[in-house]
Order: sequence, then structure tokens, then C-alpha cells
Amino acid sequence: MLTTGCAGNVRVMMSELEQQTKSIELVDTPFYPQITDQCGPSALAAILNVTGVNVTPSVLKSSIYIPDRQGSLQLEMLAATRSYQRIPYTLDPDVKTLVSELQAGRPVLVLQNLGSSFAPVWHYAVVVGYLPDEKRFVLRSGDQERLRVKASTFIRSWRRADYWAFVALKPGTVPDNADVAKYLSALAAFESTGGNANTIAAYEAAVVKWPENTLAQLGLGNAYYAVGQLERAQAVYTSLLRTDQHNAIVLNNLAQVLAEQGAHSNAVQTIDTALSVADIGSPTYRLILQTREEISMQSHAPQER
Amino acid sequence: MFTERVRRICVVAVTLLMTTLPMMQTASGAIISTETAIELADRVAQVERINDVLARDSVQQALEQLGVDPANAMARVDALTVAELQTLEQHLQNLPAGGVGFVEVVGIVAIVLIVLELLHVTNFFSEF
Repeated sequence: MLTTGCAGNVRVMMSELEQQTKSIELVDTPFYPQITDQCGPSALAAILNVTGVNVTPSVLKSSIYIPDRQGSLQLEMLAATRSYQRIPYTLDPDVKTLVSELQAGRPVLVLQNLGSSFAPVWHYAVVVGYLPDEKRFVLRSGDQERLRVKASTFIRSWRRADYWAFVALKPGTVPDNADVAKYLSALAAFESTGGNANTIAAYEAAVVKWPENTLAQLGLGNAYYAVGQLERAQAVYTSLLRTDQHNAIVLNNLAQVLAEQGAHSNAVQTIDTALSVADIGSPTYRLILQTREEISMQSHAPQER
Repeated sequence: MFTERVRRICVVAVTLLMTTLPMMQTASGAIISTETAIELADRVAQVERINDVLARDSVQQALEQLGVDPANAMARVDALTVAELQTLEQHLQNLPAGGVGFVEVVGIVAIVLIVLELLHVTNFFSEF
């Protein structure tokens, strides 16, 4: 999870912070005093409650706390966020992004290393504000509801954790400066671990923000399919193919949707087109073949139309 | 069955497109015949499914060995994506586990930290 290279350095970030002249503090962020080594549950409860999820740290403990590690893993924090129907969006490793999330009203959950690289002391906290006059960040941290940390100190502790931070997004919210690949990747994870109607809202927002993006539209079509809205799925795939005719994956999915609506000859034609444009031998090709087999089998079933 | 297949296709598709688009791979090497591809198809899908299941089981066991209640361990691995499971499978013992609040640091660790603070290596105590 931690990589060796880090973007930027403390001095660069401090100079970026100079440009932040307005004080911000998300005072409504709830505070859950940390119990022993359970900063993970406390911090996660805070950011989830801000988005309207009523969950307490003691409930979250069963989803993220590992007794023998005396703490919570980053990946499980993200997974738990998804399980409460919120999309965890990991921030770019820079202080400008962190501040812009605060400006958008979203407190940021950060990992800090309060020790050193060879004797790390891992800790989660929630950044709720920045005070330019004092050059301090405001954190909910441990048993401190309003911990004011010097910006340079905070940034160093955050740097030692590779600037790891995330926010919990309500499905349908896209951060202003969001990176499209990162957002769609977070959404794919949300979808694969049990997304539903919320997935639709999230993809719809992505399509609005990035109308030219093929993946966002594919995701939307798939999301409609997942809740059984086959006609809408078909419409999205068809529209996508108008600008990207040789997209094997979209053709595959369109074929599937056509087959399920009974349009078998259309489905077969479409899947064959998919096969003709896919790279033979690629994993995609193999998946398309499986779809084709299933469509053929279905078309030989008694209820063929 | 269709739903599961297409769901898998969709998720794999998004992941594949994410990883292959920037790389602009060109075809190279021997062409795999269609027959072979058909034979491979089932095996690849099976291997993927097996890897998924193995990773899931492996991480679940590891969590239980680390003291996680078995009733929770299963739900927790179900909430993870395949990629996340694979990361955990390989690195579970080494990944940061955020937890120690500053008030909890005692003994040797505290002594080490005090020394490091004095040498201005860390900011543990000067955080405030």
C-alpha cells in the first residue's frame, strides 16, 4: 500500500498553503473520542456520520479492527465505507486537494505516522479545518476534539504515511478536481462489492462530469443492467457504439442485453461483431466467447422467439 | 447466471480498460487459434474464479488468526475487491494498521521516540 516515491515535499506544500487565506472549519463534524487503539473506528464513524450514515465506532470495530495488529488496515477502511453505501475516494497526495475537500464541506480521514519510518506509529485522524492565521490544521484526533496541529508538523506526519487520505462520497457526488480514472476505479470497486441503485446515481454523475468518457458510459449501462433496466442499458450501449463502434466490451454487453430481451438474431450478430473486433487470445476475447456460447444455448432453448 | 457473468464481465472490463488503454499494446508473438482460445476460455475463467476464492479464504483465515471474530471475518472479506484481497493476502502482516493513540505509547517505544525527538527525527511529542 505504501509506495517508495512520493509526490511533492513539505516545503512545496507549505508554499501551496500560503495561498490559502480563508479560515475553514467543519465544526459540525461529530467527535468520537478514541478508545485505546481504535482510532480507525472513531475516524471512520466521524466521516460517515457527516454524510448521513448513523453508525458508531463500536459497530465499525467489527468491520475494521484487527486485535493482534492493534489497529485497522487502510483497505478495510475503504471496504467498510463502501458497505455503508458511500464511495471512498482516495485523495491525490497534496495539500491543495486536502484543503479543497474541506472547502467542499467534506472532512478528510488521514493516516499519519507519528513515529519514524523505522519505528512507525500509525494513527488515523480526521482533518476538519485549516486556520491560515495560525498556520495550523484542525483535527479530530485521539481524545482531542479540536487538535490544532502546526501545518508543517502535520504534513511531515502525513508524508511519512505517503500522504494517504480519503473522503466518503455520497453516490452522485463528484469532487470538483476529481481524477476521472481514480473516481471510476473507486466506483468499479463499489459496484463489484454490492453496488445497486446507488451505482446508477454515481455513474450518472460521472457521465455528466466527463461526457466523453467511454468507461463512465459503459459503467452506467452496466449499472442499469444490474438492476434489470434492460432497455436503458441497451440505450446507453447503443449510444456509446455510435462514437466507438469497435468497442468489443460494449458490443458484448449489448449482445447480452439483446439476448435477454429475446432479440436473439440481433444478439448473435452483435456478439459476432464483438468477436471480430476483439484481440484473439486476449482475456476479453475469451469472455466474449463465453457470452456467445450462452447466447447460442439460449437461442436453442424451447422459448426461442 | 447471466447476471453474474455480465457483472463479472463488466467489472473485469472496467478494470481491463483502465489498465490496458494507457499502454496501447501491440499484438505480438504467436496467434492463438480460435480452438485453443475456446479451450483456454474455460480454464482462464476457472483459474480466475479459483484465485478469487483462494484469496478470499486465505485472507479470511489470516484475519481470524489475528483475532478477528470468525463471524465478522467472512463479511469483511466479502466487502473487499479481488485486487484488495490479493494485496492483503501478500502483505497483511506488514501493512500499516492505524491504531495506537499517542497516549498509549509506553516502554521501549516511548524511549526510542524520545531519543528520536531529541534528534529532531520525529515530531511525535511536538505534534501539538
